[in-house]
Formats: sequence, structure tokens, C-alpha cells
Amino acid sequence: MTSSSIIAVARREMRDTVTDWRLMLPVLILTFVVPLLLQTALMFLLSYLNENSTIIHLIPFGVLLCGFLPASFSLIGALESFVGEKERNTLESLLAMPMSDHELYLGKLIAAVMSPMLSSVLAMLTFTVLIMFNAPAKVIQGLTPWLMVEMVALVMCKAVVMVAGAVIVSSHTTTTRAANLLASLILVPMASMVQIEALLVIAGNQRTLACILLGLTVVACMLIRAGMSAFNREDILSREHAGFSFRKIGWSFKRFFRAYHPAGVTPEHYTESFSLGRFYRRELPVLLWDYRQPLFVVAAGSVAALFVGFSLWGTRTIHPFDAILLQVGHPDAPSWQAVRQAFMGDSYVSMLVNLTAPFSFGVFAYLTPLVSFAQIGYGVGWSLVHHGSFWPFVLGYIVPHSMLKLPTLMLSAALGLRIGAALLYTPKGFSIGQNVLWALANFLKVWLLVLLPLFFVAAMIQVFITPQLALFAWGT
Amino acid sequence: MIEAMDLHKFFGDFHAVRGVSLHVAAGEVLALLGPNGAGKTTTVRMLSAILQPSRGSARVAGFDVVADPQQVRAHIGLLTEYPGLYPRMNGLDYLLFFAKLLHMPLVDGRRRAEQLLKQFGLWEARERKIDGYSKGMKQKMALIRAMLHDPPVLFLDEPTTAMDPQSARTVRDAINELRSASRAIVLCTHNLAEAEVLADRIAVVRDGQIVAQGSEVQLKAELLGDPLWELHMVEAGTGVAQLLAGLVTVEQVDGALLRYRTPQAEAVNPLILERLCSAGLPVIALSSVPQSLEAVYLRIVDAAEAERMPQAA
Repeated sequence: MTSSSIIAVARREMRDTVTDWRLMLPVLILTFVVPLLLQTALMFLLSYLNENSTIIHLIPFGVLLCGFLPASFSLIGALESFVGEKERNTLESLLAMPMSDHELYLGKLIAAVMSPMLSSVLAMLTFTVLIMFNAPAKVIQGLTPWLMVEMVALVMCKAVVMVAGAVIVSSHTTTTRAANLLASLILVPMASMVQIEALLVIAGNQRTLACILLGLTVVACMLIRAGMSAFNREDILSREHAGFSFRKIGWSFKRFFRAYHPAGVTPEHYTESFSLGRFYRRELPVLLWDYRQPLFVVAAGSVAALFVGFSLWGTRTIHPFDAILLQVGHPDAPSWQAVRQAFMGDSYVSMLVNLTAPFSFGVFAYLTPLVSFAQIGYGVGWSLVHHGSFWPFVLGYIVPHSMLKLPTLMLSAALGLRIGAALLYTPKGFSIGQNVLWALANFLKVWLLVLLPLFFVAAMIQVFITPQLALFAWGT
Repeated sequence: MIEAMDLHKFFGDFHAVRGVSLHVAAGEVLALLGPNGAGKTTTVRMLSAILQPSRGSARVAGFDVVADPQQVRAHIGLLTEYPGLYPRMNGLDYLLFFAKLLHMPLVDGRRRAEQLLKQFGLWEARERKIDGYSKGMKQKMALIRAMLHDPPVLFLDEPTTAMDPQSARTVRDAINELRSASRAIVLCTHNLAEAEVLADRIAVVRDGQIVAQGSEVQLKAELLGDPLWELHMVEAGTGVAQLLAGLVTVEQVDGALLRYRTPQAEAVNPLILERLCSAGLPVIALSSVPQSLEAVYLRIVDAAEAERMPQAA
């Protein structure tokens, strides 16, 4: 990868943007006029209020808003970075250049990121400078250097998330119109995020803001990684021949469902029909082996969660969980209703977190077993303190049904992680859509044929056997 | 320079290119002729290492299109179907941008851009925004872009599509100037006249397959038969056909007009004139009947269509 090609592409794109007055005029208005108006409105508000403390909290929010508006507008440029060039027939000559896919993608991404970043920083600076010159010193106290840095970092991260997302959309759509329609998938969550941040700024909750900043940084990195892995010349030009078709999606999904082949084998090569015997005998072991990486990640996370849960006992009190633990030794009477509840709860959570995995990158699926392990760790700590030994708790409450339930949850989490990872890494031979469909089909198949039966058996043990063992262990 | 063996390309379940094999030597111009959607552009994109073949192999300028795509792209010039220029850039800046992407040193890039701008008559317009260029100028600018690094292989995809005759002529002249002993050129077109004027060899593509390949003369001889000659006599003569029997294949006798075919016109035509004069049938004119490439093309396409119909049935 050479930087000269990346810089050349980025410079040309940026030059193209700054020479287009149709783009520059609104950006300039959002960068300089909106901060001025916002500052004027704040000054106007100040003249009516004697109490400055509310205004103090509004100033960092003003910084946030001033930075977000030009960044969100610059999305237009990012959205058409690839699809716009394709529509104007300029893309093929670029694709014919001796540069790698990564160089081309990074050049476009840098150009798309630079413009919103610059305009956002300028807008935030304009607002801050205007406020510093016009507002009373007491009001300015609200804008500490740390808070200013935090606001700038939040806007920058959001700009990168939006642009990286927009560039992915742009490289995976066939028309600018379709890209603009899909932009709402980026803009709506980000606008909601600004509202949450506004509440946190006004509440002065900087710790949570820092967590959001960290989360946004991770998402930005993931989106950049996803864009780089999914972008290739082949797909962009092949898409001319492949219109969006639900029928085709359904056809591919069915093919992925009826047999198991490693990722990268296109649906055309799935010639066999579905066979339950073949699935259990041959395909499931291969699938589990192929999923060893996410399974290992889940296992490592589970062990860590166990220790975190254990360490939480004594340092923190989790009242709802403490209330449950107080019931230890007094189990409910077994019933089919309880079996149904336990089974439905586990199945529902597993299905929900996995189906949302393409949007959450599998994070929620990953957290599901971790929460269970953390609870166990916490319970073990509680048991040690209250009863001097954790064995009765582990043997009476964990071991019988969790022997099945925890590995099942871990497998579910591994499947969810793989669905989330489908967006970040596309194996050779697959498009990003095929990769997601493949992972979803595998999940559905394993969910129906492995997870559901195991959840059911675990629920039966949980309701009919665990309470008996608990009674035996606790002697009540 | 270009060697393609059994190239296939699938887009999902759509089989766009079905076993294309071709060879283009240095100094040769090959025209890929065929209707829209025949697979010409996809073939060129595979040979330009923009698309990967689903099956088959190809080497361009000595590099494998799958193993060394960047090297292939560094050694080819591609004129895309649409010029695809950046309208807000001026001509010189546009070329310097591509020179950078082609990893040319700045001085070399500038020198080469200036040289080509002068050669193609765009020097005066170099500081003007491309947006203000005429269609012909834009196409020439795209040609210069393809030629910037003096590539040994050139792919020209529909170079005169949707152009007025004058602009098309300008571009054709420009392409003629690109001919060189060390360069292979592949020209994709559905313009038969263009192929006739520019190409040394022609490959007719239909439904993703090459259905005929050869020089213009070879294709005409193969598909339209021997060259056709037309003879005008002073007056209609009886028994002319018998007079010429064994010498030529008589196609038509219509009063004083006679049409015949012969593969050896140089030897046969003087003999015919002699025989007719001896028989008291003086000749006013003897000329060859032009056989157009269009006739060849239609013959091939019709044959391919006829072949496909029973299969479809």
C-alpha cells in the first residue's frame, strides 16, 4: 500500500468538494452562521434569566450541536463518494489504475472524513470564541478545557462513524437515491445519540459521556475495518448486473440453510438438499470447528465475566440479584408453566440478540452468556460470605441445568459474534450480503436444531431437577 | 501481448462471458464486434484486471490478470465506454492526477501530458475546465489519459459511441495515430465501419462467445464467398454465361449486366475481357462489388440466432 495514491485520491476529492459552491455554501453557513445564531440566542436567553447555572450547561451542548450540524451535512459528499462517481461514469477509469482496493477506499474515506472534521472543528471554535467574547465570565466557567476536548472528541468520533458508514453505503449501492435512502440508517441513530449526549451534558454526567466516546471510537474503528474488508472492484462493477431482489435473497438464504459449507462458497455451489442426519452427523461438527474462533472468544469472555462477577460481591450491591439470592433454599414448586417460561425466555433472548447482531456487531449476543457467568460469580461470592462455602450454591443452583444451558448460550453467542463479524470481514468469494446471509442461515439452523432442544432440556432440568438438588444441598 | 484462454464470467447465475479465447500480438488491432450486452465490455474488464474471470486464464503484457492485477493495470491503457472525466478539473491537472496514480514521476508526467495534449490538439484548452470541452475533446482527453504512461496494451471500449460524425472522425484519426509496432490494441465496438477502418482482425462476439474471428478479408471470403465482380457490356448478349463457364461462377445476368465471383481476379479478369471482345461483346466497365462488413456481421449473427433457436425450442 503506497501513501502517494491515497493522498492523490484524497486531495482530488477534497479539491472537488471545495470547488463545488453547491456543497460549500451550506457548509459555510452551518460552520459560521449557525454558531453565530446559536450564540445570539444564548445571549438573548441570558438577558432574561438571572440564574446562570442552566445556561452554563447549555454552552457545552451548543458546542456539540454546532459541531454535529456541518458533520451531518457533509454526509452528502461521503454518500456519493463511490456511487456518485459510478453514476457519473468516472469510477471505471479510477478502478483501472494500478492501485489496490485499500488505497482507493482509504483515499475516498480520508477525503470524506476531512471535510466534516474541518467544518465541525471550525464551527465549534467559532461558537466558543463568540461565547468567550460575549458571555459573562461566570457563564464561561461551564466550558472547562476538559469538557471542550470531550465535546470535540465526541463530534469527531460521530463524524468518523457517519462518514465511514456512509462510504460503506456508497460502495454497496447502485444509485445515489438508494444511498440517500439508506443514509437514514446512519443519521437517525447519530441524531438520537446527540440527544442522549445533550441530556448527559446538561446533567453533567461526564463519566457516561466518556463511555459513549469510547463506544463511538470502537464503532468507528469497526466501520472503517468493515468498509476496507468489504470494498472491492469486482463487487462494485458486478452490482451493475445484480439488482436488489428479495427473491434472490430468499433463494440464497434457503441454499445456505439446507447444507453447511465454509464461508466463501457461493450459493450456486450448494447442490445438496437438506438432510437432518447429515447435519447432525457431519455438518454440525464441521460447523463447530469452523466457529472455534468466536467460541474461544466467548469462552474467554465468560471466564473473565465469572471473575468480574465474583469481584463485584462485597464492592457493590446489586439489590435485585441479592433479593433473588435470598430465596436460595426456597425454590418454587415445579410446574410446566415454569418450564415454558424458562424455555421461552432463553429462546427469545437468543433469537433477539442474534437477529440484531448485524446492527450491533454481535455485541449483545456476546454479552448474554457473560451476564450469566457474572451472575454466577456474584452468587458464588455471596454464597461464600453467607454460608462459608460456594459448593451448595454451585451444586444446587448452577450445575444441574447450567451444564447444558451455559454451553448453549455460549454457542448462541458465538453464532451472534459471527453474524456481527460478517460485516467486518468478507471471505473471498462472498459479497458482504452473502456473508451476513450465510451467518444468519447457520444461526437459524443451529438455533432450530441444536439450541432449542438444548434450551428445552435445560429448562426441564432447571424446573424439575435443580430445585430438588437445591433442597437437598441446602437442607430445607 | 494479450493471451486469453477460455474466459468465463458469471454474475450470480447470469453467464456473461462463455469461453472467450483470443490472442492479440504486438502491432495488431483487434476489434471486438457485437451487439449491446454481447459481453465485450465484460471481456475487456477481465483483461484489464478490473473484474476477475470466474474461469479461464489470461495474460496481458506478460502478467497474469488474476495473480498480478496491479501489474496488468500498470501496463494497460483503458478508454472506458464513457469518457468519465472530472468536470471541475482543468485538462492538465486531470492528467497530472492520473500520472500520480500511475506512479509516474511528476516531471515525466507533466512532460508526457504536455506532449500528448499538443499531439491531440488540446494544448490550448489545457487550462480550461473539462466541463467546457466538446464531446470530441472529452473523448480525446480520455484517450490521452489512457495513453499517458505509454502502455504496451490499449483497450478502447466503444470509443465513438453517441458522437457526432465529425467528433467520431477526430477520435478515429486519433486512434489511428496510436498504432505502433510495439502496441496491441483491442477495440470494442458495434460500429462496423469503425472496425473496418481501424482493425487488422475482427472477432464477432454474441451471447458472451466469439462466434467468428479473422481478418476482414478472411471473414468476407469465409462468409460471403469469393469477391464479386460486375461487368457492364454495350448490349445484352446471349450465351454469355456459357462463354465464361469454367472460368468464374456467374451469379447474375441481367441484360447487359453480368455479376460473377472469382478468387483470382488478377488472372481471370483479363481473360474474360478478351473472350467477350472476341465474341463481339464490348465491355463498358468492370468493377468489384463492395461487400460490406455489415453483410458479414449480419450473416454471423443470423447464423448464431438460428443455431440458438432450435436449442431454445
